[in-house]
Amino acid sequence: MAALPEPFLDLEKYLEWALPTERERIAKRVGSSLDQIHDFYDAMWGRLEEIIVYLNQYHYAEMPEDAQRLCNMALSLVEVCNLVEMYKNPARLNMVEAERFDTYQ
Amino acid sequence: MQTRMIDKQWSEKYPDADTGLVSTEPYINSEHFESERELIFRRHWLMMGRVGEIPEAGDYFVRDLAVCSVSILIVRGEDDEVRAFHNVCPHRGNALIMKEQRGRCPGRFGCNFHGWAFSPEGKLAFVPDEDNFFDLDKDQYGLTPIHCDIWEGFIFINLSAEPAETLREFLGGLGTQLDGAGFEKMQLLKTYKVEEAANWKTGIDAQNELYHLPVQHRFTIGDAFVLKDDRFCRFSNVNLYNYHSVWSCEYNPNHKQLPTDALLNSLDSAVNDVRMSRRISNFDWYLLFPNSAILLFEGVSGDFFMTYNFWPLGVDRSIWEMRYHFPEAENVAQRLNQEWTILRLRDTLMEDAFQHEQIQRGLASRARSHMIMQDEELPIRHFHRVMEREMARV
Repeated sequence: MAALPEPFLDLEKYLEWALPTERERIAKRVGSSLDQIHDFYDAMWGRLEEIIVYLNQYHYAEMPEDAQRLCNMALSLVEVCNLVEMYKNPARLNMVEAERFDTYQ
Repeated sequence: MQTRMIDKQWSEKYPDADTGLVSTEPYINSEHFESERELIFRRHWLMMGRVGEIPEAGDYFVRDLAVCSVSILIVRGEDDEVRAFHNVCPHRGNALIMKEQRGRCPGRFGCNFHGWAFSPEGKLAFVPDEDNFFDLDKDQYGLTPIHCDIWEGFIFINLSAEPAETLREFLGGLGTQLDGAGFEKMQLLKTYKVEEAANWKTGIDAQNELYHLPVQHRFTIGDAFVLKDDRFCRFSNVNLYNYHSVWSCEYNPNHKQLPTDALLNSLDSAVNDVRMSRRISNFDWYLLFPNSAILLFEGVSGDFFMTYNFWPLGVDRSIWEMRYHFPEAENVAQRLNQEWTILRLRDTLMEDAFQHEQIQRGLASRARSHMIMQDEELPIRHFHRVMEREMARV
């Protein structure tokens, strides 16, 4: 099986953003440069509608591995979109480090 | 729009509520904190979580309440009843479950020290080498119960030997307002926990108003709610109850919608549209005395609610727990939209956590002995007056 569903193979170079947990997605955002984040955001954003229409054929909790990776990349997009669209630069905000927000279910 | 953009309307609605100053001492004084352990946290009903977190017989979670030096085991019995126990083996005092966790009892809770075993209903079921004890009455050595009651699916405990009020009496007007609100339509989707270098009241007070929103959150959600002259917070409603309070506000129809938000909303094709039936406005913020809050939000493809718990660790340390409850997502589009909502709020709450610690530093300096609060900060003043009343009750 390919890493991503066939219509999205061109996004394979962003597979490092296919992270299953919020903790990993936060770490990836914090550990990436603004340029890297913008690059990922730009590549994903234009495809988001197509991605969601594709993923909607599955139940959220039960999808094949390639679709799950694509979904995790979409979750990473949601993780970085506030930075890109809203506050632009983390240094602008007075906030505690995201790593201090212990997340669990 | 139901919001009246006028000044000092809440002290007009509640003329008996004073407009005086609030002392900074309760945030920073160690002796005061020692008294709060007994007079606040051991006396009043405390919200622990939701029955939906332990849906099946034997499901349990453990909550350590450092403020009262107790560990609490909340478990659903085979008879479907939810009970609370001290998480302590009655034999020699060992912690039965050794850390805060959630799980399902594998038939019996076994003590790691000598192997005493307890049913999910708290009965002592098995004692190794039982015949070697003297007059061991097993009925007397079940898990030690803690007063536990349920309201609208919220699990409460009370650590006093005999609670002065029933849970229903304690909830008062808040209970009436939220009866049948539809909390059971939502399920726990995400929990955050952050340890803060701040008194527990510093955090809860900073959350209990919107005056700060257009300033402190100017880069995040500063324009989310309607403001007087686009600058100043005005609640659409405030209710003060005997212990608790609620304020409400309206979403700003002119708020600047961000690209991903707009896109996710347009793609969110979910038709379940689960709504809560007791909302006062678009956003209602309930202070559930002493250390919790319930937040109701009108959402795009369904409402959702959050809870906060502020658990003291010491006079200047606390844990802030935030729980998000949403309708079960129908599809990926709805789930991603929920995630967007969660993360936008998370980033805002990260700003808040930062601020709580800065406030604590300032208060601890004793630069000022009192704080002055305006009309839109009335719910905070009400909370402190209730605290003063309860601390004076012997």
